[in-house]
Amino acid sequence: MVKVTLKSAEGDVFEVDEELALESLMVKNMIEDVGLDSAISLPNVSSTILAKVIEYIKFHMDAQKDGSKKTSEEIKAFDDDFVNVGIPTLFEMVLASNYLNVKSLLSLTCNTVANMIKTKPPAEVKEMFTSAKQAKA
Amino acid sequence: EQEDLTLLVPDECLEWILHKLSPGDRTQSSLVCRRWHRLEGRSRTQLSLAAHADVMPFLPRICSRFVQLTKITLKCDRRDPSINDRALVLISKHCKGLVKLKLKGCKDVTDEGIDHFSRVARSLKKFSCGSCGFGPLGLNCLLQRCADLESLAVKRLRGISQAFPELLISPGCGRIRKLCLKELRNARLFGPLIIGSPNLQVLRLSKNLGHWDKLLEAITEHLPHLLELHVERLQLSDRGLQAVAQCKSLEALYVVKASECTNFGLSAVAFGCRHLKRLRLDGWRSGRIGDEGLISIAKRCRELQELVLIRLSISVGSLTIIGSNCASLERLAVCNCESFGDAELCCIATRFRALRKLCIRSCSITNLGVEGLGNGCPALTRLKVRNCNQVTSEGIGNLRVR
Repeated sequence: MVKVTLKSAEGDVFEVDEELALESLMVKNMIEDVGLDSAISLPNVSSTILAKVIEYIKFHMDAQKDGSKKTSEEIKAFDDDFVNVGIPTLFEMVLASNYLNVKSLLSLTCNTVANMIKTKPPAEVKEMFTSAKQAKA
Repeated sequence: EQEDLTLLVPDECLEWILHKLSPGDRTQSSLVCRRWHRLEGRSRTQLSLAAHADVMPFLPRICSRFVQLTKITLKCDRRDPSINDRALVLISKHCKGLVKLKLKGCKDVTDEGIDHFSRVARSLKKFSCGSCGFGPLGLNCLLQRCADLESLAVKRLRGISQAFPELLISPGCGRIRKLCLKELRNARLFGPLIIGSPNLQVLRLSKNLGHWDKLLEAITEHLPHLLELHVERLQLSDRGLQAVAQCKSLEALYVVKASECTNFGLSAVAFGCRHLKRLRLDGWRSGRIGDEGLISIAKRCRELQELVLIRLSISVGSLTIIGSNCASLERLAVCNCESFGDAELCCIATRFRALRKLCIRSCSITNLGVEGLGNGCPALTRLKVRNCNQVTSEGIGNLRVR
């Protein structure tokens, strides 16, 4: 199996199967342009987020393979758990999936944010997205 | 110290998020801050507006705020003055990419306004109107000029010109694929349009005055490739249903409250339309459609997937044959059928092997029948029982246990 090396913003190196890396259309284009010889650097994605994105793609690739015993409930449970993170992390994931061009993850994260906004009055939405830093500090 | 976390997300992503919201939630979101207001306006494609005359002074600003609109709904209350031709022209000038327009109760939009609109609305695909001021003249302009128009819905066409009361509606570009006519006094004016639209696949006729048998004969003669036909509350007899039987490729048929239709007409349909996949029958207590007609259907329409039976007298006799012949029937609804009891439900449980969804409303079934379902219908995933007095939550609970 051919491996692809991805380099995060902090310079950490992630070695992944080519098949997995190609799920990101952005990485796919990079590989087509510059080949597999050098590491692909992703200055816009932090190590924590890149690890999460890889975890997400890996799970869904396994789930789609023939002989996978994962039920749609299990997949949904994984997705729900996956996006059950703080708002800053969630936004970083939106950003990363947009940058890496992983459509399914972009859809999942945007849906999650949209569900948080739904039926809330504007003032509440504003508060939700500003008060988080206080909580962190 | 406070920080606006949404600043982490670039405009493009925020538009993605807004894209996942319903129009109502989008409207709320546009009030969160200036940036959201700007992005929401820039990326919005659907707008529904109260079309009261008072909104007209604001239209230029509304149009420049929403630059990407493709679907617009303008609704005005029956008693209020509505927007006029000028407003429609303004909208059409700003929204070059308009694909869908719905006008309800816009009494002050006349043939002239639609004429102007049709010159600009190059990309219009769907047009729907009800109780508006224009009439056949305006519709003809649309049909002639909007080459992509494929879906047309007309309800209560008011603006029949005094000068040309007999003006017919012509097929124009002939691209219409879906046509809905509702509550029209003069639906026959649409005859040339229907007959002259070779691409017509879906035709819905509801509560239109006049006798429809002859017109249906002409329609089905010209449109043998129709896929879906709805007839609701029309003056229609078996002769009309015999005409329907000419549409050999018909996949969906709704015969709702057409009180003169009988088992005889339904049998004719069964002989002609072998590929029916969806069938809805509402007998309206006429008692003229029942087992006999359904048996004909079951014997010939073996591709049936969805069956809705309302106010019919049905019994085990027809259900047995439907169950054994229609092997792909996966959705069944039975409503307001007094003759439908436990014996019939038991028949469904044992015979309907492919059934996935079952809905029973206002029938004389009991807990016993519902529990019996637990032993049959291996594919059943959804069951809805409403308004059946003799079924208690206990009975449903017992079924759940199984």
